[in-house]
Amino acid sequence: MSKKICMVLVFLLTMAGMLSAQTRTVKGNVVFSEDGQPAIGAYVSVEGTKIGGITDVDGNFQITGVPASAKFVVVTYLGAKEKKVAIADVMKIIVEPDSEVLEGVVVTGMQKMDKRMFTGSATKISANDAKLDGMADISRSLEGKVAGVSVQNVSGTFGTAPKIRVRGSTSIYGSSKPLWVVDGVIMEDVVEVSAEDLSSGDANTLISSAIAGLNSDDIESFDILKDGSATSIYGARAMAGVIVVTTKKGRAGQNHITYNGEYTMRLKPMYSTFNIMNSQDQMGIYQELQQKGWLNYAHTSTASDSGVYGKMYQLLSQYDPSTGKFALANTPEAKAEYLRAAEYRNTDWFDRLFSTAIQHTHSVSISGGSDKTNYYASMSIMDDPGWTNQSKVQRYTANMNLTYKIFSNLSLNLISNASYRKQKAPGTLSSSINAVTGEVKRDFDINPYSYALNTSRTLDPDEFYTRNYAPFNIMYELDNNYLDLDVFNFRNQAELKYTPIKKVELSALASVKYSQTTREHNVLDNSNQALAYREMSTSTIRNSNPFLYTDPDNPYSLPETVLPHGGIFQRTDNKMYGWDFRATASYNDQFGEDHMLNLYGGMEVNSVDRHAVWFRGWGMQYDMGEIANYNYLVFKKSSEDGADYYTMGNSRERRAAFFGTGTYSFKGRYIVNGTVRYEGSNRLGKSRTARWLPTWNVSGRWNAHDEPFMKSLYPYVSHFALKASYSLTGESGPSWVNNSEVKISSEIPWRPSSGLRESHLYIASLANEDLTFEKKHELNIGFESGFFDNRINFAFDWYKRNNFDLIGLTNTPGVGGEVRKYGNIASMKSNGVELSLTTTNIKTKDFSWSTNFIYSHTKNEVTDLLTSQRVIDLISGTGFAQEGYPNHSIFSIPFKGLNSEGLPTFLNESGNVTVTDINFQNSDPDKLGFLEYSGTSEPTDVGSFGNTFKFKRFTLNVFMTYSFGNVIRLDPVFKNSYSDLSSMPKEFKNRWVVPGDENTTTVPVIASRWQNKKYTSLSYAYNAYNYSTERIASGDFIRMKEISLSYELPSKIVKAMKMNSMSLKLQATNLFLVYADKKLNGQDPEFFNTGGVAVPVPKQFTLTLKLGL
Amino acid sequence: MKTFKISYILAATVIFGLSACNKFLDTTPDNRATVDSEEKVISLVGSAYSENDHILIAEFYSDNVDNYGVQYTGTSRFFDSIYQWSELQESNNESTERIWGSYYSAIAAANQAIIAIDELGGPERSTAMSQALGEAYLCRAYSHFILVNMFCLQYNKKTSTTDLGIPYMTKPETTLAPQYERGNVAAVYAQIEEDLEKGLALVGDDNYTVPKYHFNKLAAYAFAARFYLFYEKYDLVIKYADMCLGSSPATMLRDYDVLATMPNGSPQQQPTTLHYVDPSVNANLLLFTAFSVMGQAFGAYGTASMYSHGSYLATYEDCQAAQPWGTSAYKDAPSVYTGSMDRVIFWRCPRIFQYTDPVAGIGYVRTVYPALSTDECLLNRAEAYVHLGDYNKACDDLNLWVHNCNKTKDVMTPESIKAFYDKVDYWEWNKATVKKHINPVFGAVEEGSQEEAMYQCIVAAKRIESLGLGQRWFDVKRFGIEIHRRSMNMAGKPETLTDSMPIDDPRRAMQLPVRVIAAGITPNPR
Repeated sequence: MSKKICMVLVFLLTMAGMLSAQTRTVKGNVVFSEDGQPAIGAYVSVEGTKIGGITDVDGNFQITGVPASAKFVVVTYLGAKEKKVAIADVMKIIVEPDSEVLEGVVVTGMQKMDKRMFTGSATKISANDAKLDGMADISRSLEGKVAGVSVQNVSGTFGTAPKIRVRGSTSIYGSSKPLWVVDGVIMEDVVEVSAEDLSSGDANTLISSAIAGLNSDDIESFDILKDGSATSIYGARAMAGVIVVTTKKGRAGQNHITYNGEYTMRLKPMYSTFNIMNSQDQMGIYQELQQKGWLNYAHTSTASDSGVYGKMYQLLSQYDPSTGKFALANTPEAKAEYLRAAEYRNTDWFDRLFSTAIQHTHSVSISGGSDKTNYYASMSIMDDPGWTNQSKVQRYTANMNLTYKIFSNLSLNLISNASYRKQKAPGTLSSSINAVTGEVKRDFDINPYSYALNTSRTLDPDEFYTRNYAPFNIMYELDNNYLDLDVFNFRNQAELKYTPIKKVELSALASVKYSQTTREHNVLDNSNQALAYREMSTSTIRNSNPFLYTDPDNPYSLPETVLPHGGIFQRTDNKMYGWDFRATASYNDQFGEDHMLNLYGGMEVNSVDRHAVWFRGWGMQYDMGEIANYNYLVFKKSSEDGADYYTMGNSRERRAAFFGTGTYSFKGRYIVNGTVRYEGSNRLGKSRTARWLPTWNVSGRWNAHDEPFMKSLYPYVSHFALKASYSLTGESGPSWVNNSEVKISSEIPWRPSSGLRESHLYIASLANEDLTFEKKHELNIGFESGFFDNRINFAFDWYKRNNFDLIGLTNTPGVGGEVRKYGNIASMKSNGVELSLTTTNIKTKDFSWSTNFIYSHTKNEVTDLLTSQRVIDLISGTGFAQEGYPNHSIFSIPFKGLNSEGLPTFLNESGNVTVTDINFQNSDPDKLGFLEYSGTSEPTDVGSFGNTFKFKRFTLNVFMTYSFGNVIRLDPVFKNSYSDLSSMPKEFKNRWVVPGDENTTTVPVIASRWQNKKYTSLSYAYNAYNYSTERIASGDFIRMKEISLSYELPSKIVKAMKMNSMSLKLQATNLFLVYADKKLNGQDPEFFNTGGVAVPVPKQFTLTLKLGL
Repeated sequence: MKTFKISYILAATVIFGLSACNKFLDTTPDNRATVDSEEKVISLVGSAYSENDHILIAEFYSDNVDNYGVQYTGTSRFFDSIYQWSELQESNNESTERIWGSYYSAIAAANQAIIAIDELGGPERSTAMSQALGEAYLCRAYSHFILVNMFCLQYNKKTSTTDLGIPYMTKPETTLAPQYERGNVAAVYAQIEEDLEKGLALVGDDNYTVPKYHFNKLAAYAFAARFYLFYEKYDLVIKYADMCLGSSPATMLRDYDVLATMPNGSPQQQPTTLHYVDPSVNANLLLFTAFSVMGQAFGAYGTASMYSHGSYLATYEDCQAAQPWGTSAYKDAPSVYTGSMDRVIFWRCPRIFQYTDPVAGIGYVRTVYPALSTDECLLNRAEAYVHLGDYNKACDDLNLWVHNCNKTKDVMTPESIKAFYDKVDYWEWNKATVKKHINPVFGAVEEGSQEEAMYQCIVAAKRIESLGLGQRWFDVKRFGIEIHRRSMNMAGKPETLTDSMPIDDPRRAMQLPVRVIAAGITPNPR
């Protein structure tokens, strides 16, 4: 009723206005066609004039002084199609969203901002565009999609996180991981896995992905916040960028039920793509080994690891009393025949250990709504029978998102999300590095991928050979030694929004998160790992098997087993419970016609509790009713070694923050923005000064395309905006540096006998009152532009970052008790550019072709780092930081050719050319100069090139990603001694064989037993070779990431089937590398072959079926 | 007016919010301990003992090793540089950096405990607290004592007020890298005395479950005896040595009769060495564990076979040479190694391997050593008697020591000692004897006098008593003995003299670790 009166009044007033002058006032309201929501900040201009206005928070606008002659108004709104409407006094304008143009709203996780008002550097990408079908973890699909974001699939195993960097690394010891925010709530990892550990292949990488529990079909969009202006609302946690995930919501009036099914087939890797010797060549090498004194009966028959030769020797002495014969007759013919069989064997381990079984995902969602309620609910199941043996995954998710309008000014949003995952993985122990010889090793590794690559093809896959003195067969071992993983994630959140007066919105959000992961490592009774603990069949083995135990209390005792029965059961539990509360207020106002003000502020508190338990049980008899039959010696031994029996740990994170941000816009063209956040964390200890960090940003934007003088360039220049920001953000640094007050821990000091044990408290870390957050200043300048009516869109950003107060190791006088301490002493600077170019090359009624090119370049340099690392840290893995070099630089030992014996020679720290005199532990800064800088392990230039062709109902998408600028350490395949298990790459064909070869080859000789005697530390030489300038390859690659063809069924057919929509899509992912360094020999440049649970991302084909009912 | 109110309310909210938040943020981030009970204090003091020893370096710095490089090549850059008295560039478990860090770390634990005791109500709170405080003071004093003797010139009344000392830490360090002044040796000694006296007054044995790994009462007295000997307060040496040794010192000395029956031969070294450091042995007053290869370097291992206490040294200078008490009839006979090395050594500290990865054979080489023993205490008392001119009492103690470890029944008298040394020539690098020139820091001694003979005898006894335990280096410093570096020939005899360390050589104060100097601490002059 009152509305009607109002309308009448308005009408009367307008009439009055018309009477009094030649101009008139036009009023109206702009809403979106999709959901009827107001379009905030749309620019409404009178055609042919410079007169115009901006819509307010309710989408209302008012333009005065409109000449009577004017006939149309034009509504421009970023993210909507431009609309021309005939002038009426009171107008209701409906705009259509335009997905072709960048979407109009930036979601920071706290606020939704009109892109035209947004001063920061952020990229929005819809899940539809990002999603890679058949890739259950959606974080992987961001690869190449966003300028400035690099995604490295260091392992493709489900649950492992890819290495994601937003504008490169931001910390030296910290993780540099971006912050994941889902529906406004920060996702916390259940365990903290550092950047290096991500590529370690260790079991805890399986739970390193914070969003592996999200069903990718539930995701609406990603917003990647890159510069300090975009991220400053997260202040002291946002140094490494923020990835905001928005999940789907129901929409009024649109009731849907959809089904999405994906069926994925993965190809088995093939030996033809790798440079591995066939069994004939391999046997040739073994013969050479035999000539050089290896593989002889005495050593090989009782060696800890052996293959065909060891087996042959064992068969020779295996007497069968019933037949009166030996298993293999000790005649030259019988032996030759045995070896010839191996020569022709050419076992295809990939074929045996990998499977093409179909992985399928089904998800069903229901959504819809009315004026009062919107709902979205979904369930999904992912079932992966496993690409490799023992890698099954099942994941179930449920998601619900409800919005209810209690009153017109009060609404409640409830989101609930749960997922459960059950996974199997090959049993694995953590890897370790021997700093003395430089060898990286993992005991009992049975990773199928690295097994296939590193195991001789001469072995019979159905036969047992010897490993750790005990019988070993990979298929049998995988069945008897595996990890069971259970992951449960749960999130509940509620948000209340209240609009007491028109311009003010108050909101309160509360959420709880819980996740629980259980990892059970089952080493069954007869697995090689269990049998190794009781293998003492001969006195030689008894004396040399390191898993046996010799009682120190009895000097005359013989080695004995600590595991006479059963296997080993290990369990690791990680729990995470967190809650968040946030209260915010926003104020939107428009003064006069030209001034718009948006204020937003609030406070939040977060709490995360983590709990971890580790337990190892000995003597679990899996075969005998699952009973623990343990030997007391195992406790005696652990106690003497000071080993853990079980462990338990708790950690607690508490954060509180106050924040405020304000945006002012003048005429919709000139926008300034400022943000402050004051954040406190308990991580830095009880010091009340160190724990608080104020962060801020100032930024501005100029929407040049709205300038009157630019109108004449329309539509040639349809969009042009400039922006700049300067900010300070932070991060609390690596979690283990939290000693703003003294950190006292407990320990059991080593004592010569268990009777003398006592427990101590000790100072684990001295106090550092000055400990503070790691910080970053960032300057960002960029522009966005659109040409020819936005047929060509071009965006460009340039940034410069100054990271300071980074945690580093420093020398101290040591008088406090620690000569080297972690403190805020390091700094790093970086800069880069990002550009994205989207063009619509052809657009006709039936056919369109669009191209998308993304490029980003980032470069960083460590400018202050008072101390240096050991040689081994600089040359292995992902390298380390050195002053004056990029973060994660890899160095190499300078290779100086082979000597006349075929042994590799190197330059050492004293400037001498040497074979074995390399000290991997040296960390004296003055003596590291001999190492040659090989490059950084982090790509500097990444991006993608994509083309989409649409013809009628067909869409063809060809998407390539590329990455340049990093180097890769080649697999360490060279050793001072090999066994008859070793498989060798074909470069061994070029190895040094006779004197003189050193002039033509750089592949060292297969060292003879005699040479190993002569040079007692020959392992140093071969490990140095593995880490030398010879064994480094460029990591550059161009990858055919995706080719897909999709077809949308015509609505006639679909309707006939009583459905709304139906589409089919066939997608090939990860097909091949267009370009990669030849030196890699088929090794995936993104992947770190570290064994454990790591496997590369497979080549796969996915069929997707989408049904809308 | 209204806005005024609003801002008032806002300000109040923020202030309230902040203080509430601060409480919220006081939650400890991990399972770190807060030292808030007596039990925890006692537990914390338990870590006020260094786990990195100074002994290996001290022994290698002393004149107890010669260079057998022409025959035996077992060495490393670490052993090379310590043998050559050069500045250590490398860091390992027994480098100067670890010694510095580890003893100061022990001091930090003591200081932290002292603060915690104060916060809990001080020593008045209970006997347990006062004894814990006593232990903390003793630990603090002991660690500083080792550091000042390793890294500074020897204490003496003439130059110690100007000789560079070491920072004396009485509070835990709370900032990243604060700067320190080194002060002077005399000041450090004064502070050690203060802590020692406080510790002696409070120390007790009630808190300990494994007393021999803590400053028990007897260990405290033995430490006091050694300290006052170095501090030239000889009455106090006798006072505390008496308290340590009690009325029947013979029962307190090392059980050499037992050691003599222990199995001999290479594989049996382990039981013998483990017995040497057994806490049930009365002679062991305070035992330290260490990340140390001394069990190898002073044992039947090829480690550092280039540098050995060889047969030449043994035959002419110490354990196989004729001494005032007779020739080498030690109950626990020295082990002689030939073939892979030229080494004559008593089995003392064990070599134990602690596996962290049994498969790779990776772990730590460990040892246990007696930091304080009754035998050493007895010899300290004997020396104090010499200083006070009571040669008969000194002889009583010397005889007690000799008859415990040596099969001889001969009884020494001041006269017999003088007579013995009168007949011995002074040591020359290629004509070694048991008599080296002494120029003690505590005052000139006339050569050929009764006094000199007594000192010579004490020094000789101590050298044998502490062989492989590092104490010789401190006697070299205190008695002003010039020492040398000799390279032996294929016959194991001195071939060349490669270096000498005269009594005023600045290298007698070991150079501070490289990183410590880099961090701004004044280095020792060179």
